[in-house]
Amino acid sequence: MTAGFGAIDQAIVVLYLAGMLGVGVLTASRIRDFRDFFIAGGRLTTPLLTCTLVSTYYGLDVTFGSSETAFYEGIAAFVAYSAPFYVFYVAAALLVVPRLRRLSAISLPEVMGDAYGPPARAAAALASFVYSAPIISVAGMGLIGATFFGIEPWVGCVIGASVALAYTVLGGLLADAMTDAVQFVIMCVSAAVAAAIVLVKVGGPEAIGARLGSEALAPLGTLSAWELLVFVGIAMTPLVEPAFYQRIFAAAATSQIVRALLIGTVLWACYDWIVVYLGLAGRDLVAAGHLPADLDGSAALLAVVAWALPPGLLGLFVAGCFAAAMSTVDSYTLIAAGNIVYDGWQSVTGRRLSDRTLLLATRLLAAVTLAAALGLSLLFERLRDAWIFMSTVLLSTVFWPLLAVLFLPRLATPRAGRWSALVGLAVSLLLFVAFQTLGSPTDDESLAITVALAGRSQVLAREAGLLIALPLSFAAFVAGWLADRRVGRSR
Amino acid sequence: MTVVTWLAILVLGPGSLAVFWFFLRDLKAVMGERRSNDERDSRTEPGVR
Repeated sequence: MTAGFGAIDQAIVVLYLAGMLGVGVLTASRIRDFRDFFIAGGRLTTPLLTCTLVSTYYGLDVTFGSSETAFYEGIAAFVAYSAPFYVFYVAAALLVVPRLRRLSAISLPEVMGDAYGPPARAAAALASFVYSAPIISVAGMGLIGATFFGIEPWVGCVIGASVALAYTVLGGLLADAMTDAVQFVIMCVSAAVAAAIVLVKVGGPEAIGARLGSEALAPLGTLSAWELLVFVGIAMTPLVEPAFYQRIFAAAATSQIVRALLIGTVLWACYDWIVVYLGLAGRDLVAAGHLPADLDGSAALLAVVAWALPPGLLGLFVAGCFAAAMSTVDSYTLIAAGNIVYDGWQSVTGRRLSDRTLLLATRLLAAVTLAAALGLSLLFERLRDAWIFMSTVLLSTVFWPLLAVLFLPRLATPRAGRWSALVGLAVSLLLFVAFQTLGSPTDDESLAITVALAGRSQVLAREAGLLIALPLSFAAFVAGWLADRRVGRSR
Repeated sequence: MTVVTWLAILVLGPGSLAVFWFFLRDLKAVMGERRSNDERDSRTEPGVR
């Protein structure tokens, strides 16, 4: 157990876990059908939508991933990695929401299926499943358990995931959103308090920059051009994000979800800045000898707060980390299970399932999803890379077809959407398999393949998969649209 | 940048508490009767959809 993490801190974490279970039991009685379970009966209002959006989309991938990037790259983690997202949050609020609310679907794959047919819906369901499998947050809970409770990582994973699973299975999105609200406050307040104390003890970014060297504060750090391009590409994810779509359909009114996304953008920016600052402080503390020289970037945030916070507040912060993880695990487990049962199964078999069967199967599959997430989490050394892989699969499969449905419906012809989804999904998954089997390790714990391009050998990192899969998906969309046009003319 | 960090702390801490207070105020409506998106939008935003 980490020094300074005492009985009061442990009691706070246990109390928090018990409280989450209580919310699940209370909301379980409100579930009458699959619509209640999956989109909370369409009755979520702005404050609850803000809480659930902020806490769901920002799990341990952002909390640990951004601080990890800041630990290695400095303030560039905010400028290059986080900031591009804000443009697309606002675009999602102002451009995507009003168009999406006109549709009668309740999930992202269903939008694809309504426009392009069952194969596109099945491909989108699989991509959304891969994207939604809560890989990082499940692994992160193991890290927290090992760091603060001295238990084996897998025990921490199982305890945290079991609690999240229990209340999600009981109360669906409503229980998920209600617990998200509590988790939202804990994660935001604990991050703010931790940052304030570290700021007083360590000093601001300028003071850290003066000690570490100016490159720590360089807006783009040491990131290469292709890394920046990948970050900007990944930042487009909010336009096709399954949890966003689920909450857009679950909102009581269009204006409520628009307001929630705009308020959320401000809170996300503040949260990003704070975790980036804490990651930077971690590097400073390592340089000063206060933290171990071999400290891994992904553990930098926890090490900084364990160093800075007094008992009680440390417990609050650990509960905040659990909150960030569980709010993501519960939401994405629900989406992943729902995608396979409601979208995947129904589109592949062509049979509509009864509400009772949908509810039962989704609840059962939630457990399978969590087990799969745990297995997948072992394949990635760096948290950021896992997130880039998941976003690559989602964007490559649904980005172009969904944009066409929302903004250029005349181009949304069946072959265009179907070909684009299938090519994007296949290429992104094949690239991943190729890198896993043929790639060699790089200095920054990723994998790369050396390819001969125009007579020159070029090193291709695993994270650059998006730059290949997304253009190919676009080319397939155009080819499909041209094929449909030709068939239309010949008739 | 230090000023920005303090600003982020002030917005995130008190800001999240304010959002949570509004959530508690809305709790009864959220836990209440289910309505479809169409019903809600037509009541709260006439002419929007």
